[in-house]
Amino acid sequence: MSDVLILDIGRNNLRGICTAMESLQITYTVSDGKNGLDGFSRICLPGSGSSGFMAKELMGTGLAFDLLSKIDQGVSLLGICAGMQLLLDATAEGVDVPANGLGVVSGDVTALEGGRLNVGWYSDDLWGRLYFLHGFCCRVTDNQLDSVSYIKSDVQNARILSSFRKNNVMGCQFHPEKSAASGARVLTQFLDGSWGERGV
Amino acid sequence: MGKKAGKVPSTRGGFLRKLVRLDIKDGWIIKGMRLEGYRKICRLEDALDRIHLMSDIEVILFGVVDALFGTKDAISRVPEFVSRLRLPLCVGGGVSSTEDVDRVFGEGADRILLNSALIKFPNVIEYAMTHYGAQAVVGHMQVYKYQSDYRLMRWAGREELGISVESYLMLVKDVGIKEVHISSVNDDGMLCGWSLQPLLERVLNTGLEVTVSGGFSSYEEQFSGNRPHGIALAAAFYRDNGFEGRNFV
Repeated sequence: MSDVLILDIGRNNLRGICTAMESLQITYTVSDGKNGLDGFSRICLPGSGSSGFMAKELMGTGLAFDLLSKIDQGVSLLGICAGMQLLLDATAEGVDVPANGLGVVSGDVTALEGGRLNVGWYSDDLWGRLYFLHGFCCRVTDNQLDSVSYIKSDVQNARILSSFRKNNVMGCQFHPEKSAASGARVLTQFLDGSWGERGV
Repeated sequence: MGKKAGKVPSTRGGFLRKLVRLDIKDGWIIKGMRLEGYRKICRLEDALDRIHLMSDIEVILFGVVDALFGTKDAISRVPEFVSRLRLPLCVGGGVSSTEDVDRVFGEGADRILLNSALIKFPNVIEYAMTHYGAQAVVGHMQVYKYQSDYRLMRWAGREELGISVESYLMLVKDVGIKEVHISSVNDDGMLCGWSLQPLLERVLNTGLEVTVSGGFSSYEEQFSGNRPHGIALAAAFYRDNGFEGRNFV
């Protein structure tokens, strides 16, 4: 069994990240986690959709507790886009909001200014050119982040959080599986533990 | 092989989104003029070979006659695309059910492009928006300009949609869609520029994200007024990247 788990919590668009892993020749397991999360050193939580919808799925199945337990045990976790947003305390996206997130990183998820979308390729200081597709963004208040990067988008005045790392938990607002070579580097650094190291 | 597209300024002071529209029929990338007279350019796999090393672009895979004939050509090609390319993919043409929506996203596409479905299948729109998010749905405006009138079309420009531009935009806003793609039937494949500037101004005023296609010869196209947020090339892209036109379909 591979030591990389791609977590399926329903309609979170797994195929893209799976093919990205395959292109990196990484073996992985896809699971909904109902039989537990044991045996994996790395967990990937992709997210293409409503973070509020995903949050309810996470909390409703008890998977949230299992994930937090694995994080405490030192398992590395990467949240992508809505998956990243689930790492915060709460999200305002979806129906019956705000919905609770995992609370691993202090902060919340809020709509972009004017309710607009941030779509397209933007330059991140840490990773280079990356593809973004989202209508909500992370407002982080955590002062214990090991690394953080932002982009300057033209849809709002405030800069947008692009990626962060807090101990063994990483998150990226962009889609590395859709960001060509730059995205491949992000995934590689998640997998080999060199997240954010320049020149790698 | 492939080449990176350059950066050009956008109306908002940032960078213009650069898109590629791959029109597909029976597994062939095709190109017509004014959405008619299709000629084969190359097989989809050959097109993917030419663009798989590119970055900084978004791809629209459009089944030109899928809605007209009830086929699922574009939808069926999503796995082939996703397995080869690490690029964002928007799929349009023939999406008419929640099963289609789940299939498109389940196989790795990022967005769906919907035209007549907004009117004929509102349940599909609601389903897609609820489960995949507002950012996953793009409204498609196939526009035919007749004298000073802008007519919304469907079925590759063959039939009027039966709704005015203003009503369509109100519907788009009401359901929560945040982006539209305007393709010009008059200019499609002509490489002579895009002639819908007045319509563009009206749509930009709604606050929607707007991308455009039809008639562009490059991403550096000049606009007389505000620029769209993104431009999609088709014929010009094939020409610049070594796609070869072949016999007619």
